Amino acid sequence: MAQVLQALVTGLLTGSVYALLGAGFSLIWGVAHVINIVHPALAVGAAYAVYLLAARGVDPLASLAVVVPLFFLLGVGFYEGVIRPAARRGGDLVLVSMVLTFGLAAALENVLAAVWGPGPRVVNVAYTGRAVQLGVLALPITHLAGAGLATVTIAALYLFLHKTFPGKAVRAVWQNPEGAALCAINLRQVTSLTYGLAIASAGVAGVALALIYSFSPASHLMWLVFVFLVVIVGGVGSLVGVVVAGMLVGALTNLSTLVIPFAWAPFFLFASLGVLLLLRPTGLFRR
Amino acid sequence: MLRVEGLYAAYGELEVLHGVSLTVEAGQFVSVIGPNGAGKTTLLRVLSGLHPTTRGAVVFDGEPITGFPPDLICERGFVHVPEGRLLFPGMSVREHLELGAYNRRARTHLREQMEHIFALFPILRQRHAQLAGTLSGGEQQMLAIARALMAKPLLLALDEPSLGLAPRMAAEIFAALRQLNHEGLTILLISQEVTQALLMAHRAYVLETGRVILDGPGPALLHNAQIVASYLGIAATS
Repeated sequence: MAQVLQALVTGLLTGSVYALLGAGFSLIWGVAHVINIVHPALAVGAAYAVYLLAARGVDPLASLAVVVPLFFLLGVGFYEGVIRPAARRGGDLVLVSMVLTFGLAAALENVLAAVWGPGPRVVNVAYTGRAVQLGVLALPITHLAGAGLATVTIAALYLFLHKTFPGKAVRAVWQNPEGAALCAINLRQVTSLTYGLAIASAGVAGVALALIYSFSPASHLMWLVFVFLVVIVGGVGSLVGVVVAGMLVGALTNLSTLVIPFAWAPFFLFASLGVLLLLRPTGLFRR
Repeated sequence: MLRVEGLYAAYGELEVLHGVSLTVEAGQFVSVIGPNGAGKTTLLRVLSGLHPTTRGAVVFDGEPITGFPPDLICERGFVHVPEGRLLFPGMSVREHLELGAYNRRARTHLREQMEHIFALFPILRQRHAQLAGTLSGGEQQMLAIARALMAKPLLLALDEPSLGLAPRMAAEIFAALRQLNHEGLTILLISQEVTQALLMAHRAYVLETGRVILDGPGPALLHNAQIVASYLGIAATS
């Protein structure tokens, strides 16, 4: 029983990182109709930045001060310099962007591999390996820090989208771009802002995953699979849906490893996804 | 207020507006009528910047706005209530009104403008926390008009605001438009409710296959033999 509880809670903690990664991914998908394959690769890039800084004695949480503004600007530049020019050429943006961002992800993976080698890396900090004892539960401090980071970021995104004028403009463009344009909303500005925030959130997710997991240049592929899973289950267009789906996927992955070998966990997940899509083809939360 | 000169527009190779010209004076109620496919919706979409123009000029409030993007045109005060309303289904009534006042000119008057709109459409005050997707058709149309009014328009352009509504709801919408015009708002209305649209209009234009074929004071057009034959048919003979 203690074992099940432990698996469930750790699963929920790691699930919050899936949720954060899924939230940014679904924001870009919803607002800009771009399937941003490079999203998890950027998070892995952020994890390497954390690794670099940690080697110089900078705590992962302190590295946010560099990662967040840097990734925000990266997101804006990515939209203005890559996606927008591609969109202006015409053609099917979903398809074009998918190929384009897949290429960028492969390029980023190879750059990381060329510099640091293809092997896995671990960020070591003073509190690595220490845990907080809570009754029968042992909660690693790194997990708590990563999950806390993800939770705070998701909450901030939610408040931004629901309580501020620019955030409401983002949701308006998401739900009806022409209707938004007729409200004097500048679609380019809003899209640019969306990319900035989404990529910044991928940066935060990278910091969180550096705290919790080991990572290698190729890790982004597995993360991409999880992100797709989370967004499909949660439904594009629902931040709350994505968050619940992230927790669910995290918990299910961990619980399944209690009864089946770890290597089979993805199989179990995708079998569940198959059943879910048969029962609710639009995801759990699609409006 | 609005001067349109020789406006052309196309969808790909297919030209749908062939040199449309019309004028709306400040304070006027102007109607555009015409059969399906005449280019009425395209005309409004071109004017509000949603669709590109191939040739021609649009002058609004003394300045050319031809080729401007929709957000700038709205900010200038030409505000479009589109066909199909284009609301945000997952956002509340209040959020729609806030977004209507997104432009800088309107945002400073958000509170008082909202009160004004709740007085015009009291049902929206009751529904203020409800999501737009859960409103009835008539309420959604009111919300679309309310959202546009929040932008502090100099000219309100409406595309088929009574389409698909129950007659009583349609009458309520028309009454609201008449009241707004009496308060001094310039209105450009596209409607298939020919009798209503002409009765209210200081000036009306008849659009057919992308050209203006007839114009004049609305009530006068109501007695025009050509209009009676094409649009009013049985209603006029009975």
